[in-house]
Amino acid sequence: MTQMIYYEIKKIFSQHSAKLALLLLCVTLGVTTFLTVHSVSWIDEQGEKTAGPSAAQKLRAARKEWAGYVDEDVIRRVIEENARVNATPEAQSSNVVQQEIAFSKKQGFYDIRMMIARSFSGFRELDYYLPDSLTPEDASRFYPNRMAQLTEWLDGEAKDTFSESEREWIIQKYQELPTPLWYDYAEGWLNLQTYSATIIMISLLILVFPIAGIFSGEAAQKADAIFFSTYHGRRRAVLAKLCAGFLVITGTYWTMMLIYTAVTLGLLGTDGADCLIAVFRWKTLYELTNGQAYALIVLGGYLGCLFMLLLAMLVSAKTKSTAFAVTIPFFLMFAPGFLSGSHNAMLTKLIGLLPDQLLQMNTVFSLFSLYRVGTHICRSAPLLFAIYPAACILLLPLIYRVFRRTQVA
Amino acid sequence: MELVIENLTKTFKDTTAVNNISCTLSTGVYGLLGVNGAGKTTLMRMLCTLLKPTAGRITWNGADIFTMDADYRKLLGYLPQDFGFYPNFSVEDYLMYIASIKGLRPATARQRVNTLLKQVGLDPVRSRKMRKLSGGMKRRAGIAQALLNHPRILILDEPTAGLDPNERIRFRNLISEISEDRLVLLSTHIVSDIEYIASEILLMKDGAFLHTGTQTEILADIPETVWSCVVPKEQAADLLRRYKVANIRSTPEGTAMRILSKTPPVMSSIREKATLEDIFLSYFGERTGETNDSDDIL
Ligand SMILES: Nc1ncnc2c1ncn2[C@@H]1O[C@H](COP(=O)(O)OP(=O)(O)OP(=O)(O)O)[C@@H](O)[C@H]1O
Ligand SMILES: [Mg+2]
Repeated sequence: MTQMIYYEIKKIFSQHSAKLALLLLCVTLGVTTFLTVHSVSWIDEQGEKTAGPSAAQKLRAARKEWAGYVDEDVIRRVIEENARVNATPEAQSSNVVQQEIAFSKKQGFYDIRMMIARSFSGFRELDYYLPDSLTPEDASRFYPNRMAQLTEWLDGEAKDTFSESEREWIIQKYQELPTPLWYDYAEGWLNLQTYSATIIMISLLILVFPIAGIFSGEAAQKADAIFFSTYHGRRRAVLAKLCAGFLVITGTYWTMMLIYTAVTLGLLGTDGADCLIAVFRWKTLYELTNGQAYALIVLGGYLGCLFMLLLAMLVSAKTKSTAFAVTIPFFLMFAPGFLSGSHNAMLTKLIGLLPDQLLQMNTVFSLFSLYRVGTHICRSAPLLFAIYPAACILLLPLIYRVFRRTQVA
Repeated sequence: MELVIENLTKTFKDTTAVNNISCTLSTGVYGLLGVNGAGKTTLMRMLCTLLKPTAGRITWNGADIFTMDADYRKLLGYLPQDFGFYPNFSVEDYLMYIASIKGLRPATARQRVNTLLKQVGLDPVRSRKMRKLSGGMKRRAGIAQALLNHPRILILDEPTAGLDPNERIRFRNLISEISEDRLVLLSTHIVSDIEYIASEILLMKDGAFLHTGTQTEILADIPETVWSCVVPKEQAADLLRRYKVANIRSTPEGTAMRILSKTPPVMSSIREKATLEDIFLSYFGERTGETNDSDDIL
């Protein structure tokens, strides 16, 4: 069996397209890692901007001063500090460099300032400048705002969106959030969360080319007559193909993500893994830490890739057409975009459960769509993590059965 | 050891490729002779469990081969007519891979591959990529893969197509060597291939067997008589139109012709001993013009 799997994998990678795919994956990994790391920037006292690991180091030092529980006292200090900087001649100046110098003094408490902006803006808006007009006395409203704005939204704009029980469920989730929140520098995790969807999607679209040919390749290369006339041809050799596909997908994906994660965290720092994502996405329904959220993003990406690629393998086995099989992930990724303009509530809910969502779990954590399973109310993430592993497990025997019954005419 | 074909039929959308065939094959070399489109490949594909018959059944020692499934394929070696390889595999890798899906253990496979590479003369190019092999070399690799598992049933679909005369002779010798204690079924439309090695001949036309039997039986049963005659040039054209002509050649005395006919075509005709080529012409006469290797037949 291992012998067969070895040769199947060799078959995949002996093709020029597969070698090209590997090269492209390396380029993707390099470019995405570079962009991720360089999306962190630091502005020094002269108003000069730098980006990358050295900027991250300085930013980390500045933010560490504000690390800790974000209680009323911290909010008050941030409002005061913010006002103090605003009053400096640099901030008052209309010169861009001077303004950058003023901004450089806010970098340490930037994240908390953003928390304040989100807390005091309306439920579905964000006014970046709002903290500038707050007074220290407003600090006490910081946490109560969250619930107040939610209920206002639920009673107003979202009145018809949720049932009574859903409404209660959401409110309960909000109440469950432990406050005060713990804050720490978390640029490593935050940038991973933001940019990982890019690397996941591109990897999928590249990986489908070698994977789509695993089954259809036999017919395309006219090797099927010999293949299916052998002892294991309609049994273990098919299983070997399936295993080879699974191993290539799994191996490539996790190698990519491991390197990507390790390099990014190595350069930007692992701090902030235990901060709740609510610190950075004020309204989220998910009580997850940065580390947990990123783990789910990567796992979701794996599931999404696995599902779409297994589906491509099924199409490849059934139609004997590599070209058709290749289009599957493209279709699954881009088709929901055309549907999303719809205002049909059912359709919107359905779109939230399509496999492309798994590739971008980062955005899923900000969604407010609720589903009913029996009497249970649940969010989309747990549903996605229930549906797609099951779907993958169902696809495996299906591919096996479809391919082993191939007729060679 | 018996492969029994009972009322086997295979219909594609509008063509019946194999039409209600029955026969029994046991040890020996069977030559399946027929023109293009006779249904040879379709029959062989069914014998290799690659295609499900539309009707009828095939049994091996009494058991349906589609029910036996892998147990049947374990006994099988198949060289398809038109087949491809994994172009970037080396010859050795290719054979090792096929050995693995044939269920050979790696150590056994290694030995077997070495033996066969020598036997088919591919040892010097064992690490060459498949796509860089010549047509004849590819076919030899194809024969080697068919033999990997010591098949009891060896099915070869036009194994000599595209081989030069030397290769063809080598190949015939190889088949004779290995045919002992096996069932070998080989298809061809090249008469000389089976003239030397086939013990039984199956004549196939339009999906059915016209005649089956040993060479002697088939030769004895020829529906027409073979005549040779020498006629003036003017008459030759007329005879060509009216009779199946196996051979035609200009001589100083006139045109020498070899003609198949129930009655003597001209007064001076001399009765000749029939050969397998005459048989081919007699059964498939009208269609000789369509065959690829017409030079072999005429
Ligand atoms: N997959 C198919 N679909 C439809 N018709 C087919 C298919 N395969 C074969 N046929 C038809 O069945 C008939 C027999 O074809 P087959 O390939 O078995 O002949 P053959 O004796 O092997 O010919 P050749 O000497 O050219 O190899 C032909 O008329 C062919 O067109
Ligand atoms: Mg054929």
